[in-house]
Amino acid sequence: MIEQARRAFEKPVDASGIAAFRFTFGALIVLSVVRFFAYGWIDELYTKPKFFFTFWGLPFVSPLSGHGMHVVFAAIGLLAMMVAIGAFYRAATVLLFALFTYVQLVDVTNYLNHYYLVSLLAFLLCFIPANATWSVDAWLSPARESKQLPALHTYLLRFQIAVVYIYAGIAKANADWLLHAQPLNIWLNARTNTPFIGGLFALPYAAHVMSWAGFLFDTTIPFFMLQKRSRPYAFVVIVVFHSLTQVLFPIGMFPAIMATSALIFFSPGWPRSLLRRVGIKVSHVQMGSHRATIGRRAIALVSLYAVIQVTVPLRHRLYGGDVSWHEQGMRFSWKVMSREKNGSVTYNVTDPATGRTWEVAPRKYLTERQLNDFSTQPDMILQLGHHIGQEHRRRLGHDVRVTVDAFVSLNGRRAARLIDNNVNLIDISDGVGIAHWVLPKPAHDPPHFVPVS
Amino acid sequence: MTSRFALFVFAAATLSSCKRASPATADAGVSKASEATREGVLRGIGECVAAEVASFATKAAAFEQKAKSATSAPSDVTRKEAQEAWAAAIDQWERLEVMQFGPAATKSHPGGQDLRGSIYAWPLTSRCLIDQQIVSKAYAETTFSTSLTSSRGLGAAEYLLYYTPADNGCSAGANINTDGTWNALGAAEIAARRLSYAGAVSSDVMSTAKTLNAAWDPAQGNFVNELVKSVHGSATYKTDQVAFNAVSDALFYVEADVKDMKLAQPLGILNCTTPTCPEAVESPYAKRSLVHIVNNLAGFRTLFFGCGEGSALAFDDLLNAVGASDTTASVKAALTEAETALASITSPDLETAITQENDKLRAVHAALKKLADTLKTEFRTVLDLDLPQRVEGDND
Repeated sequence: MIEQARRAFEKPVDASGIAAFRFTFGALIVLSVVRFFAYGWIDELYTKPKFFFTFWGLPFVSPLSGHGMHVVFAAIGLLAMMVAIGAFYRAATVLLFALFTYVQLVDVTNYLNHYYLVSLLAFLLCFIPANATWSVDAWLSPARESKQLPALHTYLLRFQIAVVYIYAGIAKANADWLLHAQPLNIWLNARTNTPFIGGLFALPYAAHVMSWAGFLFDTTIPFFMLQKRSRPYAFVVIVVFHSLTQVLFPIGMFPAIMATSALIFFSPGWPRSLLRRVGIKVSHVQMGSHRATIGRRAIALVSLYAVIQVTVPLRHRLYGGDVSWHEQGMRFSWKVMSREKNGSVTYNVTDPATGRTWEVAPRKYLTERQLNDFSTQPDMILQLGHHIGQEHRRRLGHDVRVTVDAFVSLNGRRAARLIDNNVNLIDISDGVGIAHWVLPKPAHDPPHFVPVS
Repeated sequence: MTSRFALFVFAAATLSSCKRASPATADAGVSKASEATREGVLRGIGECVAAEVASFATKAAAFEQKAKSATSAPSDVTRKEAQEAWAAAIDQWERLEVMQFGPAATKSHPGGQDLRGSIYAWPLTSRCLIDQQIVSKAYAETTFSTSLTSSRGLGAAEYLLYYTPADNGCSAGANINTDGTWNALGAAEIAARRLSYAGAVSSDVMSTAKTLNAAWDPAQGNFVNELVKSVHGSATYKTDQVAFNAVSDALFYVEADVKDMKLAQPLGILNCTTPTCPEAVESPYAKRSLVHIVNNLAGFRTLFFGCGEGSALAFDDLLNAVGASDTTASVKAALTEAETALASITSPDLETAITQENDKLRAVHAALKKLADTLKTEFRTVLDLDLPQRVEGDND
């Protein structure tokens, strides 16, 4: 079986599909960087905040001071451009992966599923010779140009995109989404005046229909894209689906990244065929003239990567309860747009020496944008609680007790306490174990709201 | 003063809650909910704010007239009249503090013209800067209306009209003290200049009130229309959801400003390293900090439950119409609890209440925390409200 897999992986395919992937990937990152500069997000995300939430195990990652982060983003833009055109590709992809991942790790509130996807794709491109053809590198060094590549590279990228879709679908396989149509009911109700389509959102069962459609789309689309006969129709559905989400929700580059990435499911020679169809002359590629060898070690590494990608999104199962509530295992799991959640957090600090208790408002440390994300996520609430405790310890010269009033409303439910307010956060360590200090999700089902136009 | 304050609080609470007081009006609330549309709610809110702004413009004009009279014919009587006119203006403005969206908001907000700062810059009022301008007579210059807002507006007027000692708010090392220019003025001249300064402030406030009123006036800027047209996309609000976000953002004044700055800080609950911080009260000269809170809550009630004693469409009707009457009830219960606790305070001012009726003030604070928690959780969730800057960001 391994031998069979190896033969399939080694099978030479047209390299133009991978080249097109490389170009669109690089171009979209360039566009993202332009958006960051244009909208002032670099200052908003990296200069303005006084406090940064670090990822578990990575407390040393911090933003650069001064204009450092602007330089980093400019470098990301430049590197992405180099990747797009295939110039000094190897060095550019490695640096792009490193810098892009770094900026995502600076603050947990910046986490977005599509940025995580970009990091993973950049990582994969470090090992994929996507500059084999249609690149500056190939133009500068024609002897090293290769019009075909082992199929493994295409399979790997397809696998990555399929993982995103399928797990995004699995994240919707719950009662809130499928039975109660939440949070789509809430989101569509707020968009009943959207031009042309808003009226549809006010129809009975619109949220249910769209919830099921979204669930079925995510869980099945990779399989339809893998079938030659259904692929063109499936791609049209992808474009329509992502266009709709782009219109309705503020999800930035995600629809564009997913729609263009899905092109990897087409036959590896699709760009060459397309160019021929529009009358542009491109050379013909004779398949099988060169067959690369993929060693056992490479197959083992690819398998390991695949196992990690399949298991990491499932880790929330180990914690029990509802991941949308306790958030343990929420990140790096492709739970894309799966809940509507808002919180309110107030810390209470008690000085054991005097018995005096006072409040500390998170807004003293966080920007409005950070507050929005932080207020529903227990690990971040704990992290800021520790910071507040340390700050008071420095000022007072002794330990204080830090508790928190954290209330959260999930998918329209009445607000409930997220964290046990009797627990001294200073006594709690963040980790990968079950967070017993997080209270259970309210038992009642979410309500269904009536659309009002 | 004590009984007058209690009577004022009672009247404000009764007037503002009378819509929900009788079964007949409760029924009207239900029927209102069935008529609620997003456009109708935005219209109701906009017309409410326009009426409140028009009322403020009238009171600002009266304040200007009385302040000018006090300047031209200084006496205890004219000063008292100016103080009363100032109180009427600030009472109305405190209602509008909770309605800071559109022209009153800063320029970073949709439709913002940054008008609020020129009317009432609290907590940025700088006594020292005002005193420096008393010496330099900068208030008499034509550039006064473009000077720092911390030396203008109703906050500056409060100091100028109510503070009578002849000292100043600057440190001993400040120029006006080291060069002797302050002392050289003498008590009588300081008093006269304070009144002249108050007159200049009143004209500046009136001018800004006119601009604000013009922006909302249906015959002029008609900002209500920007809210209403947002259902199809207006020049200010791309969608009605953006408009709702802007209005709901203004409601959060009751948390950051009322609960935290006006109450928690003086009470020693927040940002205060001593047991209490009475020096942090909003109105240290006119001693109207408690009245300001009452008016803030009255403004909140108007914006959330509708003006005309709740007869206009507002957020409560939208919530009830979508089926989230539980959230409406939570907001109403917390607000009423805060108003009732406030009404039970008999102390003449916040400073006295901090020491003599601390428990009652803490009850007000606790009720406002409940209100803020409900707004930040259920209210935002049910209506899918978001922070304005978030609307522009990426999010998955």
